[in-house]
Amino acid sequence: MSDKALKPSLKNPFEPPEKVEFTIPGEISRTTGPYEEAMKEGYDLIQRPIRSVKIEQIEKQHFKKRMTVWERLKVLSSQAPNVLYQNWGKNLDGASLVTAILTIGGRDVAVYGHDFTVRAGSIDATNGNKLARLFNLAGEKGIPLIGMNDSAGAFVPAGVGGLDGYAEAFTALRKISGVVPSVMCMFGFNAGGGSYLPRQGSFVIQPNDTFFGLTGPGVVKSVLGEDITPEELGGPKVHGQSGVADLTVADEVAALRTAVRLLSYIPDNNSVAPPFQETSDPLDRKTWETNTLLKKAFNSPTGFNTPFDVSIVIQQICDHGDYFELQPERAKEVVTAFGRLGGNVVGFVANNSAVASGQIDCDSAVKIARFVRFCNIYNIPIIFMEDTTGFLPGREQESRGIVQAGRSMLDSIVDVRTPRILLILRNAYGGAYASYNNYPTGADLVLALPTTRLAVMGPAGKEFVYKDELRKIRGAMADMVRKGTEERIKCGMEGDAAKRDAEKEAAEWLKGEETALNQRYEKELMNPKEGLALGSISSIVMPTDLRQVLGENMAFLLRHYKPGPMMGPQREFH
Amino acid sequence: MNDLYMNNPLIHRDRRLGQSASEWVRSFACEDLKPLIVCRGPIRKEAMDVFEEMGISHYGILLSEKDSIVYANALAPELRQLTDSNRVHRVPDYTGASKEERVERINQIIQIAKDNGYDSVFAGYGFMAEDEEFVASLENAGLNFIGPNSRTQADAGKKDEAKRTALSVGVSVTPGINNVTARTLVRKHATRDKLLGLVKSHGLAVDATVLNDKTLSLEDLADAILYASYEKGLDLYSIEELSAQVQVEVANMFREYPASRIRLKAIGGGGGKGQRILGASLLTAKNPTDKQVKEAAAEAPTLVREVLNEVKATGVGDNKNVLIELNIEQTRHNEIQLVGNGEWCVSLGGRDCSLQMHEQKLLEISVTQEGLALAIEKAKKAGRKAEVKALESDLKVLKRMEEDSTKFGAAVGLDSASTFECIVDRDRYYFMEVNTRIQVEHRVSELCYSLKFTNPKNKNDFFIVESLVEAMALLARHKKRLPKPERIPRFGAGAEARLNATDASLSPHAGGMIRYWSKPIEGEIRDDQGICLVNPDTGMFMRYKVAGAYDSNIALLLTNGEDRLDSYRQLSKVLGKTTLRGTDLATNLEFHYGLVNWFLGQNVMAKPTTRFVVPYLTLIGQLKEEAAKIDTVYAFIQMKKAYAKRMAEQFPDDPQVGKTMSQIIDRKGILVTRPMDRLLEDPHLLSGWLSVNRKNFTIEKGKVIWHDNPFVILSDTYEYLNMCHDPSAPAADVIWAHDNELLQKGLSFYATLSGRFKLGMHEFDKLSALLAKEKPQDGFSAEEWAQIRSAHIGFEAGLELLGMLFLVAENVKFWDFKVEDDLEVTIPTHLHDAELQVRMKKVLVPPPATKADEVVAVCGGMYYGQEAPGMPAFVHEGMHFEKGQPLYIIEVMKMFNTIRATFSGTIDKIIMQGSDGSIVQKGQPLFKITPDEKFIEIDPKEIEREKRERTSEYLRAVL
Repeated sequence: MSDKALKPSLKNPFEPPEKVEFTIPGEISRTTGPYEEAMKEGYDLIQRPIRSVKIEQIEKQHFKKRMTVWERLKVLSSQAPNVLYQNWGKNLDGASLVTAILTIGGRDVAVYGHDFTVRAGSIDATNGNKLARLFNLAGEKGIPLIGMNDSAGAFVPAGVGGLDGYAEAFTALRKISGVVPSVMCMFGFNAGGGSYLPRQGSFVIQPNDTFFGLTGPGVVKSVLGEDITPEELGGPKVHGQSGVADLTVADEVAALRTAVRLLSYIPDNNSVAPPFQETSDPLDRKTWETNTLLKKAFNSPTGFNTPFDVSIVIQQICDHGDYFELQPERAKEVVTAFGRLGGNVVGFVANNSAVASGQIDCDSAVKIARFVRFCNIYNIPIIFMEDTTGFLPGREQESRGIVQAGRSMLDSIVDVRTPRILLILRNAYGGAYASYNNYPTGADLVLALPTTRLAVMGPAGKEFVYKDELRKIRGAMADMVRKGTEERIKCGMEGDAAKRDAEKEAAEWLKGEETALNQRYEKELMNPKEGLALGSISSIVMPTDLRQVLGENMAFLLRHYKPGPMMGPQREFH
Repeated sequence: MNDLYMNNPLIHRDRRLGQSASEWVRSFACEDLKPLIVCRGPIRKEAMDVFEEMGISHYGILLSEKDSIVYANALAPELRQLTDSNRVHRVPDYTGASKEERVERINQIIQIAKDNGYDSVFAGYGFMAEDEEFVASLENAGLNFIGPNSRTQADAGKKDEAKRTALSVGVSVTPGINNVTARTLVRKHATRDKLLGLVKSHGLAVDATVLNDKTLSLEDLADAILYASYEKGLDLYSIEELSAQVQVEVANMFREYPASRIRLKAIGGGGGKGQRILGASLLTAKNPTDKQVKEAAAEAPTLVREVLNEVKATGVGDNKNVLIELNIEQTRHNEIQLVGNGEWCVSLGGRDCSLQMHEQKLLEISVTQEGLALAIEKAKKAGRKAEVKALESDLKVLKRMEEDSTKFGAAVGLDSASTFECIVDRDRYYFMEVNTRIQVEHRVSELCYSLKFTNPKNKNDFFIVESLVEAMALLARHKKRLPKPERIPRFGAGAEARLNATDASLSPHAGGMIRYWSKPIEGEIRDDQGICLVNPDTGMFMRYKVAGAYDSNIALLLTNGEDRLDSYRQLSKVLGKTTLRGTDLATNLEFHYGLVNWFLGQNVMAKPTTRFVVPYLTLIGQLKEEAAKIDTVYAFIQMKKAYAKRMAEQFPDDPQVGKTMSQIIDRKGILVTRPMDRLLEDPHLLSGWLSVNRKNFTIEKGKVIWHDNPFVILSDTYEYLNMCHDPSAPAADVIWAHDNELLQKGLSFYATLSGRFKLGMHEFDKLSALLAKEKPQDGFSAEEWAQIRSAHIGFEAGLELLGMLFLVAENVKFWDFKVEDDLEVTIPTHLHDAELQVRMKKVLVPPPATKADEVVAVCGGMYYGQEAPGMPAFVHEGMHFEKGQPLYIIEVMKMFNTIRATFSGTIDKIIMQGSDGSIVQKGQPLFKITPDEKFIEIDPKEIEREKRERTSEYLRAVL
């Protein structure tokens, strides 16, 4: 072939050669001197963090279907970031970390993101300090923080310096915890400090095809000999279920969009209320679907013991039905969500009987505690919805420390100082009722649906309430069997058969009597009447009026709540 | 921000006739109409919009409890528009589950209307819209039904009556039997006297002239008697007797029409409901034996029951007539849109709805006389004789259908909108039925014609109606006062794709959540039930749970164009630009995109039959199976090696050239493999891509030869995949910036070069011939020429890989499935193989596999095998269960949790022997089962090895 002599090239011969001459943007060109030289150098420095990266590095990042930090910033906001310390580091390239102030939806947000195309986004002493400065700034100005983590960990050549860098960042982040909220996106493969740091933040969002954790599979293999994929070790499925990740999403774009959405529900800092949003959804809108839902459930063959999905009740209450669920993949027997009611952000904590009867176990207790603490710190009022048969008993739960987990939930609720309402949907028994935002624990208002079954104990309570009756019935059994046997023998039945038959009859009688007592218990005690009589419930609310009643009461409570940082002594335990 | 969604010039306009300067026009105002909308789906939102645009302020909607409580994350979208809760009325569902419930629902609707000041009812294309009883009840209650009156419903809506009416006005109908109930009665009471005895003994009110007419056939007499019995709510025959008669008639028809199937249609059915086809086993039998016929006909009784059940006509006194029709196998499904006021009747062209699956329409396109005439002209000019002939035949049929349909419409006193449905077989058409309601695809016709109503006294005094819903409201309000309108051509063509919640094999897939839907583009009509109405407060998209409580339809996407090609191109653009994101979400968007492009690559004037889709899907499955064997990263690395070797051979003394080449190839890595991976992952996208590129290559001696510039094709491919450079889109969703830079650089090079040679960008054969010459062309200097040729090699290097995609098609004989010159579609016979179809369905959507051979208790608690005492058990041995089916209940702390199957399978043995209420422990085995799909562990290394082997074979054809 004649091609032999041809060398390949990617140069378009028709394109004029690129201009290398520099002029100050906007200035007419004229003869240049040392001043222009300085200007050019300055301009190059500004561009350096973006331009100095080799294309191979960017391609590597893109090959993994990941965006560069600059591309991620653009998804967060169409406005250009105000980059801080852009030439930090001895290569003047920003040292593999971008920190900036970004305007998102008109709000100032402090943002950081590892630049994986530079030194794999690793941390050394200097950029640990850079992170700390951003955190301090966020805390000082009272603006929320978004982190885009994509770091290989400590920069090994930096030695102990890298570790110190992490320590400095850890400390700074802890110091602003509770002052400003933070949202952490987990991109790429973060291990060690790269995992701890983001988890110090308020919320962690993890997309698919990412890993974070103590160490990667390689180390696990070498230390424990275990073969495990990154996905199985620290993928979104693992962290979504443990609550280490609050939200799991499909990809990076979804993570960033979710972060922005989440931001719309949380305040800038602990001194102010979350953003108010005028609503066109009338507060007196009837909540018909709650009625439909309950009717369908309670009129079904399994009657009042039918589980139902509580999210529809939350949906019905919120403005236009829009709400935002947190930790949706974990401990689904409780739903924690942000929503708006009459424009005000409200936190919802609702037992979901559709999952495991709504029983509170270690996971759901911690999930509630975590959410309630956040709302409490950041001036977010809470509506609790109760429909649980209680704490989950058993060996497994005890060994996992249900006492401590349940206590954690209880304490978090006792501590709440923001407006708080309890709405009892159905089941509210015993310890679960006692620890779940009732009047004595500090509720501002307790409301109940007519379907409420507030009692000291669930159906098993008949053993205590009707102790005497039961003793009498059971005591009569022996007599019945004896008499029955005698009668049967009289009629000519054989001894053993007569006894068996009599026992059967007695057992049936007993079952009937117990059922009758069960029904009596349900009728007499499993209802809201006692609660109303004792002032444990303020009033009954109809399922169709939920939005109006809750909305008006919440508005009243908020009129008399002044947002501010939490005061008072630090309590033991969290 | 919602501009094109909220204000789309194609569908939104001010329709307030009361605002007109003309007194005559003003007299047709409808502002005082107070309609209650009793249907759901996209038509509900459309009616709300149209009524508002007409200035109707007092309209209300029904919200069914069945679907409203499934919007877990937002209120029903319509409520974002209609915030006045006094105009939203709850009903358990729209039609009732039984006959009794239906009657109850009808009364409830009337009550709601009366209590809330509505004077009319709009039923869209809901089941109620075609219910004669419903319409009659409304009329009796003094409510205005926005749709055909009950007389029309009776004459045209019931399939048997419609067929008789059709015959009487000379409309051709499919061969079959429309009076099987009468025949049943005659068989039971075989003489005139016996029949008359029935009248007496039951005290039936039959017209005396009928009874005395001795010339009347027994069957006609029986029919008259039957009608009287329905009036009285009596059954003169049992379903068993009817079924037996149907079986006899079916057997006779099988003998009369060998190698055919037979269709049973309950007279109240529609939209695929209440219909069954039998006789598949006879399709290949030219001379069926008696035994074969008997066996095939034996299915009839079961099917009769099924169809009657589906239309809820099993009660005492229900008309249980079933039409028995020859099933026309190779058919196209065409329908004519009709509008009338009882005195006049106008047709608005036709719609071809042949592209359907399991009787559910997927893609509907307009057929108009103007459009066909234009297409004929074009084909003539291009010298495509076979096409001209085919189109001319179509035009003739269409003309006839339109003429006959208006005759029919006038005969039944049609006073609203209806559809005249036909099947077209070559140059003949058969009338099937009339849908006495507006149809889902009505907008296709709206795009083609508008209605011009002119003052009979002054031809300059007129108004134009572009919406059929608007026309229906006008007709309901002003009826006979409306003069006969003139139909005005609006756009040359319209097309509609039904966006459904179905997976890649088009099976329903409900339960997903839509989290994001890109904004409509210009020229797109998106009828989505309001899903894209953003949160009115925040402007954010509101998540939408695809519940599928009633059907799988999510939205209707429509486009228009000057001709069919244009409307298809526009539809392709709309589908391509649509991004739907969500969780557990599956839609047929990709299917549509692939299909529309398949036609664009073949011929949009094609005449596919109703049997197109299943074999097409089978082919798509084969594409997927083949595509899965390619590893693009491996291919890329191998190619890079091959280039290194070639450079080393060509430039043994200059290692720098090899290095340069290696760098050039590296730049192409993501640029080339990323779109390839997208296409290989989704066979629907691949199908469309292959079709539009089918003329851009040939395979000669096992090598792919390009006839279009791969570099330009690559750029087109990014556009096809909606991944063009867009600075406002997230970087991850579009071409990466560095890839775009290179792509643009190359495009600019080829644009300049083609310009110099006065060639188009796609005239690659000529360009490459020129570039092959060593002698500088077109006055370029030797140095320039060398640079140009170097650049050509540089830009094209690495793009060979794209050719592997053609080979995938070649290997599955993709091109054998094609549109012929006479517009008929050739479907390779092997794609009709039922076994292959089933296997490919599984390739498209692998069913959940499990290693388990037991079902175990999910948690500890008390076990129940039935929902409540006295109710049937959930499972029994030998039973097959589907994924999602309830298997048992576990009671935990007095709460009854229904546990559903996570995969499908068969119950071999029930291990759980305890009675209801027995305690089970977590993990305790309950049933022994055999899963439908057993999980088979395959060594990933083995898969990788096979993939590489196969990829290497592919590489041989392109390197």
